[in-house]
Amino acid sequence: MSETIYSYCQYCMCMCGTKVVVEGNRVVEIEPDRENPFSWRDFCRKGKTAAQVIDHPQRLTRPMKRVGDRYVEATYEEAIRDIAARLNRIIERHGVDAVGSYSGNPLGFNFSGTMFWNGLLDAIGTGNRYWVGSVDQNNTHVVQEQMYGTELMALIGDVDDAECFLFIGMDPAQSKFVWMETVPDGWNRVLEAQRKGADLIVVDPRRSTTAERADTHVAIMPGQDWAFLLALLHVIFAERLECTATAVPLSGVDEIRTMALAAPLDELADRCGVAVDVIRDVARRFATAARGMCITHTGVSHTPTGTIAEWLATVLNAVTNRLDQPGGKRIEPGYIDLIAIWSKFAPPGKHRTRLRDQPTVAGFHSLAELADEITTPGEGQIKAMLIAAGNPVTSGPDGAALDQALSQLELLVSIDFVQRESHRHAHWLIPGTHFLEREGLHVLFAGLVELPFAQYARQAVKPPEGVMEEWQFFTELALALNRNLFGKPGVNKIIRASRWLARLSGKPEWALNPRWIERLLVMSGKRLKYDDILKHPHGWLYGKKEYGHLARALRTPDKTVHCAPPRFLFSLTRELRHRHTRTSAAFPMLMVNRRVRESMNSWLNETPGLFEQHRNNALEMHPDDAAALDLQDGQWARVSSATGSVELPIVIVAGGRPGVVAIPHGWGSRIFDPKSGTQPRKLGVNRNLLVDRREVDPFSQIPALSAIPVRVEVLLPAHARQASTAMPAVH
Amino acid sequence: MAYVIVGTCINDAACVDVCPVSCIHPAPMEPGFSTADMLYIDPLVCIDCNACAEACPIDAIVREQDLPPALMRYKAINAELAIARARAAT
Amino acid sequence: MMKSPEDAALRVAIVGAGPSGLYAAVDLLRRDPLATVELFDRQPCFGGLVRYGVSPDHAERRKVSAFYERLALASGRFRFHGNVEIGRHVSHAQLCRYHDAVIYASGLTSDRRLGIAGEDLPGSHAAGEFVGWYNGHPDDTRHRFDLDCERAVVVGNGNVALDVARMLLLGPAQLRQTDIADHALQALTSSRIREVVILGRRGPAQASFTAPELLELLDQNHFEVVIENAEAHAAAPGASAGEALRMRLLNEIQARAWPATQRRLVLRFLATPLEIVGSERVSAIQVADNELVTQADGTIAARSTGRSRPLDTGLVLRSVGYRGQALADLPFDEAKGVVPNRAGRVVDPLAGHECRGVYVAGWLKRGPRGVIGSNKRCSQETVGSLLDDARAGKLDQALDHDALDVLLAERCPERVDYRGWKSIDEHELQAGRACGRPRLKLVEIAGMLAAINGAARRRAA
Repeated sequence: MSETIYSYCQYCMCMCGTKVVVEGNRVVEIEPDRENPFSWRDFCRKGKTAAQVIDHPQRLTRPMKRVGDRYVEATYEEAIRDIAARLNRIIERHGVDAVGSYSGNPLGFNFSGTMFWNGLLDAIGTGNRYWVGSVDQNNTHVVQEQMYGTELMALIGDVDDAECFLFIGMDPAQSKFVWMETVPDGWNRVLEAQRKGADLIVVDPRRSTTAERADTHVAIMPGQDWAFLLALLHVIFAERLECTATAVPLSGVDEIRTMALAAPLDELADRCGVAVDVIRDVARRFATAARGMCITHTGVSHTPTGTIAEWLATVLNAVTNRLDQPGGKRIEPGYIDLIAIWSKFAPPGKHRTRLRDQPTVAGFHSLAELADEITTPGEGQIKAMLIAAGNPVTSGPDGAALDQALSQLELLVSIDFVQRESHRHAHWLIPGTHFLEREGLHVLFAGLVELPFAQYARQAVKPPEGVMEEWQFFTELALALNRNLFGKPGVNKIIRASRWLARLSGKPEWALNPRWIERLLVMSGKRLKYDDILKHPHGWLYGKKEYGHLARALRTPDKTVHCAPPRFLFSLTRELRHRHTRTSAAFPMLMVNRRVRESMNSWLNETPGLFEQHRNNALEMHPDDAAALDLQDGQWARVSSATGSVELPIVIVAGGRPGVVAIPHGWGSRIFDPKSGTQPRKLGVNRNLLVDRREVDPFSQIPALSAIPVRVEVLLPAHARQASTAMPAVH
Repeated sequence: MAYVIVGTCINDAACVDVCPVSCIHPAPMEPGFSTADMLYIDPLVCIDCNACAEACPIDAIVREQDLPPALMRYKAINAELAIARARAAT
Repeated sequence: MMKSPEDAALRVAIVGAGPSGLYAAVDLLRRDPLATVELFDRQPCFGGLVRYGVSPDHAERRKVSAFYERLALASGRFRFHGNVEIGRHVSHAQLCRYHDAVIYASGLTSDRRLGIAGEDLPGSHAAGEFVGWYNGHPDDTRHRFDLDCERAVVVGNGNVALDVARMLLLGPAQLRQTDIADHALQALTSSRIREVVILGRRGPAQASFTAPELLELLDQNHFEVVIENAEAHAAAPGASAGEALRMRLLNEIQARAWPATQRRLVLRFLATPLEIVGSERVSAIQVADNELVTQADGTIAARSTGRSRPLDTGLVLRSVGYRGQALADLPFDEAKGVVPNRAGRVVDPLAGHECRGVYVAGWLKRGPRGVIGSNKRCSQETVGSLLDDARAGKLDQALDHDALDVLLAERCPERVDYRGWKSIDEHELQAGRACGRPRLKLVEIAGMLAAINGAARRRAA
């Protein structure tokens, strides 16, 4: 007997509605749920093959304890007791900051996991919290905080009504129209708008799939988006193309106008490598379109000036009246007060890092600092790490340094469903769960979706026998630590009492569980009833697209959008004063990243059904550069930066900017088999080994994952073949 | 809207391997693959994701909206073959 | 001493850089993340029948070769050795010695014959020779075809017959837009052929033209298309949607009002050639009229009505399929025209056992059937067998791999690597651009080697 479960895919922000056919406790088929009123059209092979991940041959189904250089199975009881004892010893000896933590992208899609993870960290009281946002979207949090007065006010592109799209550093043809926003089927809707006459301008050093469809492709110099954006503002102000009666009140326009006009256009053009004529043309087209939007994604956030660029892009939208306007960028209020709740889950932390004295962004520190915080002795040195659904060695900068740092820890605990590259030194491997095995309402996403939409995620299959959900493990650990979950006095008592009641009454739901919190949050929003959400298995489109909410939602004291935050102005002034090229004789090329539809960062690439044509990444190079270096397709190259080097094959790709090479990220992460200890396979190389952990955007603290100065050298095939498959050197 | 396979199709079926919704037929494991003149996309199932077009080694898959006039007829041919398959299945 | 993973990496030779060989290479490289592939071809060029078989006016299909070349190369574990003939420069035994396994994917080379009188008269050719000639296959450039007659006859009812007919009927203006070999373009430019008759034994429902090729005939305005003897014209009851579509397109072709053109194509069904007539050379072909009969097993067969008539012609091209030729050192099944195999593992029928480490893929494995893509699953099956055997320890580990390079340097100094092939490719594209053609093919090995040397000199300069 088969059963059909309607839910949605929780790998990425597309949140595609799914129809999961299950027989027994096995997934037979996953299809898009065409009855989902919102989100099914971006469905991709990641969702289709999700069941292969559940059945991963190296999947952990029991806690595994390191004994010497092997792992042995253990009970949760033993694991929790041992971890708690060791953590408490470390805390007693070195203080709470000696316990560090990192959470990866998948935990963000696991709302109960996220809540109880924060609850556990609050129980411990550590300020050493690191997360994936610092290699992803932190620049948006900083800009929103400075301009809107809150770290989470993601504005969403209103694509159907736009007449001009200016996309910078994004490739929605691969990534779909999602990042800190979810616009279902967004890319196809952009193409449809284009067919009806909308102007599509794509700014990207690479000739991406998106750029191929553009009316104009601007192959910009990597890392110079800010100069391009400032140049656009220069033209718009000089030609008086800005809107003086904007829908949302602005402040600071005069300051930014003065600064933009003072910057010489030809110099900006020279910096970003785009001709003045092209800049003028783009500026005019964008500013004079009746409706439009400028959107920036990771291509911008991954540069050392990602925050300044994000700010200027927002200013561009603001002064051309693209905020809270049809065809521009609007806010979706959602069904809870997201801003208030976000500040609860990611409170503006007072904690500063020990070594670089940096504040938190969105409640967390930068992954770029983690290795040094572990290896540098002194008070507050991290001695233990908890890693939840994260693979920071692969997804962060200078993985070699982090890998080495992790090997020095007194305690490393990973919570994930396989042992990944970042977990190879783990003392404890705690099994994780897959979204198909969980249920819950992700209330934080309510304000990131394009339309008023709510959907309760349903469990399709049960986790393997005996495997705890993440929130359960975090709760048990807090109890065993004898430290109050959420750091609130009495919580552990309430948990124990609720469990006692549940046992007594035979009603397991009476024991504290994530549903309690979800219900409370929905109730606090006063817009929807939790039970009504549950009544919509395909998801619930509970309202219509509205405008006019942004001005009221602003958290700035004067209720205006701040176009000239002093910190940014200061930084921009400094940037304009100095003229430094990123390339040098030693590292004459710039490396950028790229998105691949089937890839989800570092954690799915080995899934058998995902990459049907190849199973590695390669160095993508412009034909002119290949000719200059006398390189051919398929030859092996060593790509070196000041930080590290990797060896991989070359593919020559026409189009884009000469002098720029691209290597897709997420590859080169091994999956170990702690049960058998057999040699892991490695597919591709980890290009983030080239990323410097010290060069970070000063505001977002995101390391320069893109625009990395590199050198490319040819290798002999035989040599390269060996180098590519050998274990990475540990030093 | 949907994607459309045009007559240059060589039955490579790379598209079948990458399609997230199994809307391309006949798949190599399905009856009729070895004798098919060409593969076709079921327009009612296709979700316009472009994966097939990227995987096709000879660019024989085109977005319906981008079909040049000379190939327009393949839209109807894809639909016709898909409908026939659906009928045969019932 | 423990072997490191890369020492144990599988080393595989593939013979034939056509679609089967490339499909096998890409599949092997994807499924085994350490395997290395050495791909050999007798020609300096990639593509096999993709380069030398696909019709010049269907050049978009040739892209399949470049696509998979790039995929194979992107693995970083793939090399090409063109202009190397296995059995001449390098023996089968040597190939086996330096690789863990060898996959033969070198295709079939001879045409099937009609078996009628006059077949060897000058003016009667295998269609394959004509295809190789207009595609610039180095082995076929020597052929000469009589294009001074008014009518050519093509025997056989498949897509190759249509390819040949289109090449004979498209005018110089159209042919110039294709990558047809220049010598063929010159010859066809002064061709006097005005009519091509394609003879098919059975009726339209049994013809193996595909719907896209029929649609292509229907949509062109360069020559008229006439259908003869197509009484049995409706799709049979229970016909597949594909068959119904083909019949409908044939009806549309018949019903179409054609513009006044000088050239025409006749699709003549229910016609079997009895004899090719001529004294010195072909002057006519005697053709029997058939009728269709349903046989006991339900299949439709052609039966002669006893009537026959002559058809004047100076050029007869037989297009009734390919057949195999035995390869030195490999067993061969003469009856089936293939290398005997089990799921790609070569079997010695005399000894009754599998030949360790030797595999076949493509036409050599299953006979001349299917379209380009049919070879993909065929090659994947062979690769699956090979990987199973590797896991089961049924392969002998290759000797010192570097010795292969020494041997190749010694035995075939004029071998062409991937860069060499790209130089040929670039040269052809460049030469095409210079004269307003998509590509101007090099048709002699010497010319190809000169292009490679020229490119090397320019790089060095």
